[in-house]
Amino acid sequence: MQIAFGLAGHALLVAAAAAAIARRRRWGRWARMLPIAAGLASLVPLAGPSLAGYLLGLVGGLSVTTQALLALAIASFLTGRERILESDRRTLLASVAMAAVVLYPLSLGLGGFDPYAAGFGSLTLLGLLALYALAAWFAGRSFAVAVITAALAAHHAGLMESDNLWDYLIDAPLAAYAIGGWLWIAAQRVTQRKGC
Amino acid sequence: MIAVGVFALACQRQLRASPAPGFAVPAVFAPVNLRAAGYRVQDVSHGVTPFTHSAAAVEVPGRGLLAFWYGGTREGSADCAIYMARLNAVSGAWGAERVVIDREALQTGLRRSIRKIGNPTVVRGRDGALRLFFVSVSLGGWSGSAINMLTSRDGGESWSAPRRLVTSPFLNISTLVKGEPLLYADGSIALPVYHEFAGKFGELLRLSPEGQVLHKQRLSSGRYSLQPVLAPGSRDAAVGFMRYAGAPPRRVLALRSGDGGRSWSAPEKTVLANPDAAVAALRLAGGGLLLAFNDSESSRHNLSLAHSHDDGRNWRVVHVVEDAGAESNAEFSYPWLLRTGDGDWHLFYTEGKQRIRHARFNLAWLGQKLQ
Repeated sequence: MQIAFGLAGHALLVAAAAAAIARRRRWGRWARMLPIAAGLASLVPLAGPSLAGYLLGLVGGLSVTTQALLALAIASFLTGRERILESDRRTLLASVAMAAVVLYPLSLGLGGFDPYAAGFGSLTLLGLLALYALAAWFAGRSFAVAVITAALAAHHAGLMESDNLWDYLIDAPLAAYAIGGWLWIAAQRVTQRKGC
Repeated sequence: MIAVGVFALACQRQLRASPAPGFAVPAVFAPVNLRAAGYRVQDVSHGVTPFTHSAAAVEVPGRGLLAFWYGGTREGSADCAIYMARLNAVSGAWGAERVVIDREALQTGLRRSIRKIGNPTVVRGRDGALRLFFVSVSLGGWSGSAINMLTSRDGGESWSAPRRLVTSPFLNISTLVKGEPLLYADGSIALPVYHEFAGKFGELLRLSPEGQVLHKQRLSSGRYSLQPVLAPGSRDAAVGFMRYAGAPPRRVLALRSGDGGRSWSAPEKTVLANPDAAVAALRLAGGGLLLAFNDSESSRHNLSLAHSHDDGRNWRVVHVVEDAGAESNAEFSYPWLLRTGDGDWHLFYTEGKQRIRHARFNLAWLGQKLQ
């Protein structure tokens, strides 16, 4: 069950990558099935693990947040309509980027405090998440609330191999994407100011 | 409403995740050893693999002593596997080694890519089942390791499908095992682990018997301490030792807990030398400590046993197990200490990363050494 959830996450990643390529190349309607075909193909073992298995070995399980974003990206491609507000997406990615710059250096050994340990059982972490969810709700960022709720429910059900709540909320590829995205935006703003 | 309900469930779960409940008091064996002083060294591995390293051992009542290690063509090669052998109680010789799990079986079991397999460690749970933990790498060197677990409910005859432990948020890399796991008072497992990616430091995992990670805590920080081993003396008091990878003077590190492993003191240098090499520790029945270590700051050319009567504050070398001379390229490493129900002590170690050795000694022999 837990391994299947991990493989499914990487199949979603492959499907979303296929959707992004098809969208950029402006392939026709026939390409609508490409993400589904690519996702399913990534689960087929080829002389060892499947492509999803290779990715699972290299990267580990993808968080509920990542899987939600990937699923919505694929749904947008299939239906031709955006499934998430840009403001919602940016808020979530900014939150992920801020969490990542604290979580990863400290948990890898910078200093003596390990925030990752709180993910195995900490009312403080849950309290902070509740405050964040409340703030997001009042700010009209309902997608962030939905993602946190889904991550907590998945953690309670033990859907991932990890027993740590952090792994349901955030993962390294998502953090790299979020931080990279914000650095890109910052670089563009600096370039525009210089242009003025 | 859904969000509120899910948060309430999450709070319930978090409240269940309590910290360490104190150590299971180590079994104090009766001094049944009334024989003459006995000390014997023999090979455990039989040269099936050119490279052989990192022994762990466990006693299974009624089935005797089992040893585990990993071996292959060379360190990190794709053909490395976890091996085991059983000590024949009648002949006193080690039986043929057999593969517990190899890279391909682990890859199939976890349904993901695995590059290499490494250090095993083993514990017998309160339910009698064996839990074998070992590292594997999918990407990079040993610092990219993750931990896997196998369970055997028939004394090592057969093993469960592998389970992957997730212990690090960054691609689940850089958690390794070496030291002996212990049991907490509630039957959960205390698994000493260490990191060697961005830093070199020790940690202690608390696991359910099924392998669920319940809690994690730092034993040290920085870039100089790894491979912790723990020796509880009571439910609350324990002393730990760590390999030192920092600047000279190079000494074995010691740390202490007085609250059942909930908190630990900062590691401090002992008087014992350490050439950036693993140590093993065992609590003796009278409260003393036995430590296996390389008595040198620069090489692993010897392996010695030291005794402390005051919980690791003062030490005396009581026996030199191996000594090939300081100029020698010989290497004796990765010790593992164990006491079996018959009252005998056992020291396992790697010789030249080519074979696993086993030194067995009894109470009479140790008594002579401690005089």
